[in-house]
Amino acid sequence: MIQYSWLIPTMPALAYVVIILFTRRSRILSGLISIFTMAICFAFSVGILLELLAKAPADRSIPLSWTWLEIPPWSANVGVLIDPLCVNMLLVVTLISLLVQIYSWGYMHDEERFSSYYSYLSLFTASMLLLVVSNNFLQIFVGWELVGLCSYLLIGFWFFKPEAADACKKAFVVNRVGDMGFLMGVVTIGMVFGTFDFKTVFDAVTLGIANGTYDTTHHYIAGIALLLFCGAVGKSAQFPLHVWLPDAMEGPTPVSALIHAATMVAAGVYMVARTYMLFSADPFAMTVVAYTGGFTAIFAASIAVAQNDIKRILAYSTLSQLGYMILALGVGGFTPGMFHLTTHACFKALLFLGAGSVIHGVHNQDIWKMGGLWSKMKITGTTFFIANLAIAGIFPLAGFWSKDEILSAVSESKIPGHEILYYAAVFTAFLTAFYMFRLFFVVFMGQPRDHHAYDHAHESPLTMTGPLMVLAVLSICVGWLNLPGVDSFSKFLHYGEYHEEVFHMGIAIASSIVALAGIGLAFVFYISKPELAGKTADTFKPIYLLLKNKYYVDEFYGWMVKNFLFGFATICTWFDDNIVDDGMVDGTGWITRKMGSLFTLTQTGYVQNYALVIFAGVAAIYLFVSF
Amino acid sequence: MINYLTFLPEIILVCTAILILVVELFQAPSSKRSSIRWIAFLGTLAALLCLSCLSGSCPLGCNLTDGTAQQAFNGFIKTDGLALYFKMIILLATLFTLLMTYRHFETHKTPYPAEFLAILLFSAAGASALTSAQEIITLYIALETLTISSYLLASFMKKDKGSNEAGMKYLLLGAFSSALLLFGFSYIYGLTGTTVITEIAKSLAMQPSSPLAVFALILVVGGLAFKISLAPFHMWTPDVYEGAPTPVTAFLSVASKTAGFAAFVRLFWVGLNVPSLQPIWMGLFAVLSAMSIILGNLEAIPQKNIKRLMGYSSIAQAGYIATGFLAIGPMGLTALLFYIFVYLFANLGVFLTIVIVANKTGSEQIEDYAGMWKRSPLIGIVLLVCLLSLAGVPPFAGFSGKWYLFGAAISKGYTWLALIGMTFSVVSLFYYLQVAKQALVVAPKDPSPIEMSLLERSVLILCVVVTVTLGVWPRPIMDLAQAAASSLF
Amino acid sequence: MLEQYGYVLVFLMAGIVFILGAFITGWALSPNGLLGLKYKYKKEVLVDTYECGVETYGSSWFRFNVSFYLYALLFVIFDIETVFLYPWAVSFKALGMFGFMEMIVFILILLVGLAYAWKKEALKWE
Repeated sequence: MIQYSWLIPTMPALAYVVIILFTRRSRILSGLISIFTMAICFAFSVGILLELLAKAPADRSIPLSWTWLEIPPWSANVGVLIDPLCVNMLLVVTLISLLVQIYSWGYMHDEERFSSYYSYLSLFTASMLLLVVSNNFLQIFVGWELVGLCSYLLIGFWFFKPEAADACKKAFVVNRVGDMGFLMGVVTIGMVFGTFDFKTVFDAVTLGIANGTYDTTHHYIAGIALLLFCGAVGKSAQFPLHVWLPDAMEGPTPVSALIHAATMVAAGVYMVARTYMLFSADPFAMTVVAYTGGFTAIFAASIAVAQNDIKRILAYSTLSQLGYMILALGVGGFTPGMFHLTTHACFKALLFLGAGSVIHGVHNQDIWKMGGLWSKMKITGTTFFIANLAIAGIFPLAGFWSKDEILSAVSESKIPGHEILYYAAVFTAFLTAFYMFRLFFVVFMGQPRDHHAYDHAHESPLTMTGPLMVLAVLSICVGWLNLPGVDSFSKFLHYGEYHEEVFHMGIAIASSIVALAGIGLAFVFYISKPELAGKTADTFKPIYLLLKNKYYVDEFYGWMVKNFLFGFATICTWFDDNIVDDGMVDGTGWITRKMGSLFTLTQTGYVQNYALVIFAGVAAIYLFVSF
Repeated sequence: MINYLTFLPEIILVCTAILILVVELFQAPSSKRSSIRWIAFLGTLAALLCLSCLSGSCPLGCNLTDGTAQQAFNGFIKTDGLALYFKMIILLATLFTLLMTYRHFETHKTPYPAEFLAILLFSAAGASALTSAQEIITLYIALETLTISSYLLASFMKKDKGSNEAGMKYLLLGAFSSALLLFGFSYIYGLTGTTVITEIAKSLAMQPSSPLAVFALILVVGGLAFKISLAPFHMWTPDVYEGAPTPVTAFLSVASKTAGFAAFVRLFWVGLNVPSLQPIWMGLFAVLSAMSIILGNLEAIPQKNIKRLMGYSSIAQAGYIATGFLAIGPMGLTALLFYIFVYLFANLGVFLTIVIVANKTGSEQIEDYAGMWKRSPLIGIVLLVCLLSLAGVPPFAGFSGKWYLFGAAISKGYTWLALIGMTFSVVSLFYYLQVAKQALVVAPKDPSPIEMSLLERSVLILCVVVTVTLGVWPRPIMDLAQAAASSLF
Repeated sequence: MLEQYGYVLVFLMAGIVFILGAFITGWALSPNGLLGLKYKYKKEVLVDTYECGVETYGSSWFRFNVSFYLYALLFVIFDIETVFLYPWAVSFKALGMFGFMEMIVFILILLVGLAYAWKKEALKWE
């Protein structure tokens, strides 16, 4: 099965082509093709997992490579690198994608461009899978850009809404900043190592460090690693390139669940994990990564506290959780980071899909227009509650285990100032529990605030609630993959030698208490004493406004662009319009065209002239060669 | 005994042609003559299938040989892997031409459809035989079989002034160039006393460089460069391409050129590849190729007629392919073979649309392609993909083809030539996109849809699929080309 | 090698000598030439094509019936066939069955050509 693993990204790509070219007119056929392909891909991934598990741990990294373009001695390959990291990602992507596609069947039911929607989803999944299976930097870059493109298409799916059109542009431009760094990193790798292949590059680095060719004190490798990290910062929406993700919520909600919560935004984390070799070679790179992640985690969580749009709250929560993962990787917790990616994919997808179900019911996104929905939407409410418990890190749900491992990893790490990071992470856990339950209490509990919306509210169809229930079960159980002492996940997926995960009872208790405190505070503010929330906000008005306005980062960027970039751009435009465009481009075009007309004058149409040219040609060549 | 396997494809083609003539004799003048079309089509297909049997890799398992090269007439004819590859290109081009022929003669009535098909097949047989020729007289006779048939084909529309002009010009200039070629051959024979190409190489290698050898070399270059329309022997191309019936133009631009390339490879890479002459013809090809790229691309810009534009484009394309001649070795040959394959599909895709459009609108002017996208989305896509591929824009096959060609040229130190090639690929976008712009952006004057048969539709889709697939995944054809190239090195 | 071009030179010389010789002989033998009788003729008589026989009429620059060409082409083809047949007949025994079959194929191809020309009424004189 592993030999045919290249089929995994190929099949959804083919589905995309088929839908675009042939079945666009039939909604049902297009949707079924897309969903069916994804089901096959998921089954395929499970098959690969089983085959991999049957092998000895040492043989679990299987590269397959084909030459793509070749000019000896240089060649570009395409290939597949199947290893535990890749398979883990494959399972997450295919499963979430499958569930989201099934869910979309109900959610997008009245959409006119239903087939286009499914074709984009297929293309997105194909690109994501291409990124995941790739065995070299060039290919991962191709996948990287393709998911960016799909994200753009899907955020702007309702392009007639000005907010959506703006949001997709913003996402694209902000990502471009990160991608620039990533591309520079890839090119640097090509120049330094002469190859783009992961294994070759990593082996070269290992060898170079062992025999002292690469001096880590000059942060040579760290430079490359941090360039790559720029890409991850853009795609995984870390500070300071986080601004695009909350706006990306203008896309259809299932898209938010799939792309902007569970899979694509995790691509940055995955890429860091994939090239972990380069990061772990230099403590400096690791420190930068850890602080970026830690800061984003607490920064985004604090913003989420003061937001009122159901999807935006979840978006900031995603930022914060991605920060957690990056933090874990930065402090050397490879397995915790990937484990959290996996569990987070389940409960965050569930939260978004649940939010989608709510929006589907009340046709609104403002949490202050909802309330008391529990009685109307039992399944959505229950599953949402489970997801909340999971993300808050309540025993024994998924989030508890993965968050706990991250906290342990941070507390054990050796990077400077890890205590600060640890307390930041714990405080983030508190904030997470608080804002998630604030959301839950406001939306599902209490009294209905907008009776018109409340009367309309209804439970969603089975195509939507089905995936919710599956994800709810996963949100409960996925954490048990890595029970302390059993460590099945850690044994499967680890970086370097396998170390037994140490379970710190202290940390577990501390994080549980913090989470319960957060829930308790939310209960007090939004259920038992609702007036207290407003009072607190008034008391700390400056802080509240700061949070509500997301620390004015967007405004700052806007101001920067307006005052510096526009001035510079005006000069550039003048130069471009007058000198480059009129002078050089048009001039070149004019000269080329004139020369073309001039040369066609030689085409007289007289056969004797043509014969003369042939004769003169031979004669000229003879003279040319002779003298 | 003679080893008939050596020229089995040619036998099939010639027999098919004779069969067509005989069958037509016994048909009522009023019949629709679909039977002869089918005979021509099936005959060519059979010849194509027999190639795979000859290469020892027939999917149906009827391998005629174990893949070893077949020889006949003391090795005067040898059907090696290289010959098989060239034959494949030629026969594919013939199939395309047949398809266009059927559509073309719907509006351009001719009283002699059977004769047209028969001459076309004779021509293809000549081109096909040329690729196996290991000896200059055989090569010359095969070449003349090809070109004399082409003269007839080009002037086939007896009542049409353009076609007559094209045929007459082609005949006069073709005869002139054949004379040059034959003159050169006579000197080569005079210098070496043999007509076998490998023997010529041995004999020339033992002689000191002589002005006569150089003279012979130049004459041969002149004669053959005419066939593939390299500048400055290209002047006939636009006039003939414009005037000749469109299927013939398509045939000339691919099959006839491929045969010319085959002759080039055999003669120069084997026969004249001796230390005293090699630097001379290398320099010569570099200059000719640069001239073709520059002239072809520049003169294409002001064109209004799409066939004339494709004529200039084919001059430029010949220039690109000629850069591959400079990289003697498996890499250069592989690049060249790959590019010809890519060129085949892109070029013939465009010509097929030209025929289909002309059938409906009766026009070959670029401005009448306005809004083709609306009238038939497939034609819009084909024009866009194939023209961009010809221009060498990624991710289409033309890009990977040029990548290999220029890469091979650079590896032999012809960076300046590769730079010219790349620069003028950009220039070529100017006129290719002009056509694509008309088809995709401009509003149609007459919005009536353009119909086509299922076969034409699928062939056009095939062109697009091949062009796109080879752009992102060139491996399969590269492997085929590499295998073919290995028979020479 | 180059010495072999000597033969070409000899041929060239012989050709030139032959042509010049023809001109000189003709001139010498003509009535007003070297050996001529130096009679005085009328101008009209001098430009006549023939000295005796039927008077010529019309111009020689007129169109021939295209059938002449068709006949000529067909004739050439079958003439060549005969040229091939003679050496084959002479060495018939040496070539044996294989040669016989080859010749049958050759003749058949020409026969098809003849049948084609016949059916297309190329042999009909109009």
